[in-house]
Amino acid sequence: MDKRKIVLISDSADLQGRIIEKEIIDFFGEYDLTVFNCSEEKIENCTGCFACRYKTPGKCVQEDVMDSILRAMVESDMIILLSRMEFGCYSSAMKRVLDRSIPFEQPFLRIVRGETHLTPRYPKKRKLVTALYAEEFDAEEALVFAGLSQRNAINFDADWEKPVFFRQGEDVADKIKRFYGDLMR
Amino acid sequence: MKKLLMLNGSPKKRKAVSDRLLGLLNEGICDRMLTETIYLYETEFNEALFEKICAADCIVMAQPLYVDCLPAGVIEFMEEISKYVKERSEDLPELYFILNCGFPEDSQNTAAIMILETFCRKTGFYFGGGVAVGSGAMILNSWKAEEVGNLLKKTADRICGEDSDDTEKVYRINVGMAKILFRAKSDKMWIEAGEKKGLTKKDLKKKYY
Repeated sequence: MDKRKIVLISDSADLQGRIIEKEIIDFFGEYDLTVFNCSEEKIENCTGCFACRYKTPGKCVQEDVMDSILRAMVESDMIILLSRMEFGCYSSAMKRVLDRSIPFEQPFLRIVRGETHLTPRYPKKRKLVTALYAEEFDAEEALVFAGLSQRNAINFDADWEKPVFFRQGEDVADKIKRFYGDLMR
Repeated sequence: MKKLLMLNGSPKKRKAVSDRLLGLLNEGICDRMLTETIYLYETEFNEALFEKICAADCIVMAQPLYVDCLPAGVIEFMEEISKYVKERSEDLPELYFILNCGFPEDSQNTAAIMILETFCRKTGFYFGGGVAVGSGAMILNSWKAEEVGNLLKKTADRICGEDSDDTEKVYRINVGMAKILFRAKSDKMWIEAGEKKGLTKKDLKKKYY
């Protein structure tokens, strides 16, 4: 069995999302995979209190499943975000998880390629992989998201991987085999 | 009189920098329009809200940059109102924005601006542009605060329909400080905040997991 730890965070709440989620889980059957479905869990919004920076460093004061999600992210070698695409962005369910992932970083700044970012609290070579789906979307939206995911990778101090997009009616299993097959080689 | 709804999309609501920026914009409007503020993080997204928004002439969405894009509550608002407007055919309001990024570079707001433009394109709101701020909290306490007020005033004029020779839709501003100086100031602020709680700099770097 491959030792790489993978965490899949999925927002799938409809059939299209469910099918992709299932195919990803099947593909990673031989790996150490942890799955969270953030649409099924009750996750509160970040309140912007910044306690995780200066009161309880590294720990959110809200008690919910985010504690387990953050732990899994810290321990992982690869983070897969499976989200519905909304206007070139993640869905609100997925974004709620990302907003609550601030404890993943220190309050201190670092400068990456001439731009100011936060310093990782748990530096490690990780991959950030995004899989986006919607009934339909245009090339422009995909481009907006690709740019966003690239920025997220800098923020999470992870290696960026090109996002994979799923429109309604695509052969999901085949696409996943090709895309993740290349990725895990 | 025309109506302007100001949507505060910050989880920090009345304590947010976004609220102060909306306040400056409101000063610029100066009774030329009827204005009202709605706090998205304490408002239920229901038909009554969407009806009110669609009946306004203009809306301004003001929010901080969270993890490189819009805060979750703002995306949720966009998801819900897009379902509502899909069923209707009347003209939608003009949409303006104020984005505030905590990092010094106002350019970090670009992805969020593109998402708002995409939202407008897909729903039928008219994208009117807005103001992208870098280092919002610091800028309002700096010598550049007045300049922020001026850009918001110019935006207010545009919202009020006053013709301007300015073809620029998006105004950008940041604190104009060397990055390493900004970093030093910001780091010091967190160290002092920690010290007040009895924590050292090392404590703030704690690996909780």
